[in-house]
Amino acid sequence: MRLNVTDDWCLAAADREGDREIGVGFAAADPTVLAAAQGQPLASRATETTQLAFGLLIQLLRRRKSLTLAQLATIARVDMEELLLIEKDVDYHPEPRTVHQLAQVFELRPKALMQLSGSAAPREEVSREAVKFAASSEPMAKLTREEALAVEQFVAALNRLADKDALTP
Amino acid sequence: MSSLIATIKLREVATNQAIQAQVFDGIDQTHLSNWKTKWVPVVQATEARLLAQGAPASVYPQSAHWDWNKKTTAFQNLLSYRMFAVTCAHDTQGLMAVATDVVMHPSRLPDDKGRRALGLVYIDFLEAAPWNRPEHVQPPRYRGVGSVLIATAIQLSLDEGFKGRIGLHSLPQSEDFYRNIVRMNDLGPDTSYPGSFPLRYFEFTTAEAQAFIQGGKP
Repeated sequence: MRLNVTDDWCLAAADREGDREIGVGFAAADPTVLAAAQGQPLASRATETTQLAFGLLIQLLRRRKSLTLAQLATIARVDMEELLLIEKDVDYHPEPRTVHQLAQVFELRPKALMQLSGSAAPREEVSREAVKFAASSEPMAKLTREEALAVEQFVAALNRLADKDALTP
Repeated sequence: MSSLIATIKLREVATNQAIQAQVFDGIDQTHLSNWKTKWVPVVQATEARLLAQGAPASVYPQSAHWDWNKKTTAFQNLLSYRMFAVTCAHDTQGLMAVATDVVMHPSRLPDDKGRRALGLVYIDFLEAAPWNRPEHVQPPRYRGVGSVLIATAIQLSLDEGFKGRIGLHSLPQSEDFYRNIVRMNDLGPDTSYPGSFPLRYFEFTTAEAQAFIQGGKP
């Protein structure tokens, strides 16, 4: 690959650009992410239970699709180490972009998954559903019928709540 | 591994002189070390200053939590991802990660035959070094990093057969640049994005991208 731009083009473009911000990226301005980065307590931060439920949900959805961590990382275009932290570390806060990518792969409402992951403040109902789900799921080698049912019910509840949110001004 | 794809010019603000710079296809350890040892301390100093001032969250640097080490690890083995770096005076001046997968990132504007959902180069992340940004350093050191990286994305789009089409989600503080300076089409807030910050989506058609890279726009 070769980039062919003249010096005159570069300098004219630089003068037009001036001191403007040029950043492109994913939801970097979410204040919950900023506050977390500063180590400040978040009044509306997801509880450990919702984050535990998030890790469990991702693990079970991955297993339901018979994907390894490496395969999911490739499909979702996220770092495998981050996936491992999501599944294993209840204190880990994934980047919003990662949550969005996972929501796409598993066909979930991104907003619901953001609340569960701690990237956005969780609704009380989300926390309640998360407790029910976390209590009914235990990561094992094979997805049992009960776990499969728990996943389906939890996903349905999350999507219902996300739909309710969408209707709320 | 990275390879030199262009020698370009940036504008040095302090002297108004043209300074030689380089564009690399690929981000290597030199670029990442520079990010970690030079970019990160400047960003952290800005955050500490804003925290001491009790500044609202809305004025914090919007890319402060980006970790280019993690991004490079995640993207470097993906065939659909390419990364680029601009360097000058032995420092990394800008970094960019782009995707070229039509399934995840199809075009949203119709082409000249009315077709949509065509391939484009999607700019996933783009960031200038903090000393080139007034929110960190006044006055900034170099101008032109953003324009050169956009031109690089357009060139990649041409090389990949996407005819110059590019798309991106701008950070809120950068919308002015993409709307009024680059003059991309503003397709509005993308509600498919989660959370309370639906970033605005911008896209260049073939003709507009060619006009930009040829300097046809004022």
